[in-house]
Amino acid sequence: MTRFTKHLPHYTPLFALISAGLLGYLFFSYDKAFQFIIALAVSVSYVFWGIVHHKVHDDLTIFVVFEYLVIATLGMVIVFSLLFRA
Amino acid sequence: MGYASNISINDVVNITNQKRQENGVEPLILNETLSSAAHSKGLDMLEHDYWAHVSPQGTEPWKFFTDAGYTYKYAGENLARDFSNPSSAVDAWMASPSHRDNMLSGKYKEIGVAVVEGDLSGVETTLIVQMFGTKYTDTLPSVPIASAKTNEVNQEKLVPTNKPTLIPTPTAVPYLAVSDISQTNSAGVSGSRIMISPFNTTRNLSLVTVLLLLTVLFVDAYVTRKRNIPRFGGRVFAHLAFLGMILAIVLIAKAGAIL
Repeated sequence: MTRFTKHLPHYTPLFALISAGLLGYLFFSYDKAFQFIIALAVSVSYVFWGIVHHKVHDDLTIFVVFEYLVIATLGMVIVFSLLFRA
Repeated sequence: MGYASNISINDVVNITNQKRQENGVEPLILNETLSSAAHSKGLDMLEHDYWAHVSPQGTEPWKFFTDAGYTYKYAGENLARDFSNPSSAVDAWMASPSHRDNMLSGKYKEIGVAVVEGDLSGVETTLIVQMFGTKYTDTLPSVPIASAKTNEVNQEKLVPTNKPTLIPTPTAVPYLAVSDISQTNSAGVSGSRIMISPFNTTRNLSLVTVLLLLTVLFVDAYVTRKRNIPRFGGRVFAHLAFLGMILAIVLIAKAGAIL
């Protein structure tokens, strides 16, 4: 619990980002171009969140950046494949 | 791999009218000339391989109205593709402010709908074309026959106010009744064709991928924590949250696009 509280200032922006992205995606369900932009923005922000978070904790390496990039890219590919499938 | 869905024209009209009534607007009357115009528009999209209100050749939607012999005062068009049922398409239109305006506009008195299936950019596609209109003659003030002659000048002065105002001379076109369109459609989807939805296949594949990755990350986090294994890498909790969002998007994703 203490550990969670310690990380709360870091995770709050991440949750806000993810929640905003999800709500935006839902709200603009009629506009695929806007949904594309939302997915892209959340993915890029997620990578930046990871870089800033690890930089603050002094454990930022190129592998960590690569890990966030891989996860974000996978998420984007999945969302885009659904968006432009039909 | 082809996919086509059986969407009834009457269902699209009924659901649209239901939405209008829920919003206190008069229901629309199904007009076969408008349905014929909508069918021509659908065929034109397949023939010239485009998904837009205006064709690459510059043909505007209003041309299909006039070519079918519908002289309008007000006209509107909604397009949808790849929906598996009519209510999803209508719901998608209702969620979009501009399409919703068309569906709930009190200016329109009639509706025409066509469901056309065919190859669009290499994908077997179901297109729904919804056309709204009010005949130019319907907007003219009704006058007794005896006094009609004296009001000729006034009638000539009546100018349509909305954008599609061009009223060309109606041209005779081969007429296609709504029932004929329905028969064409039902013939198109029946038979021995194997129907696999590209969207559902992509969706299921995405679902499996995300769930697999979430499971791996969760097991990884559990094992490293339980055995106190030092882990140098990204935050598993953050990855789980991000992939959770992707999972939610996959779950809420629906087939179909509107224009």
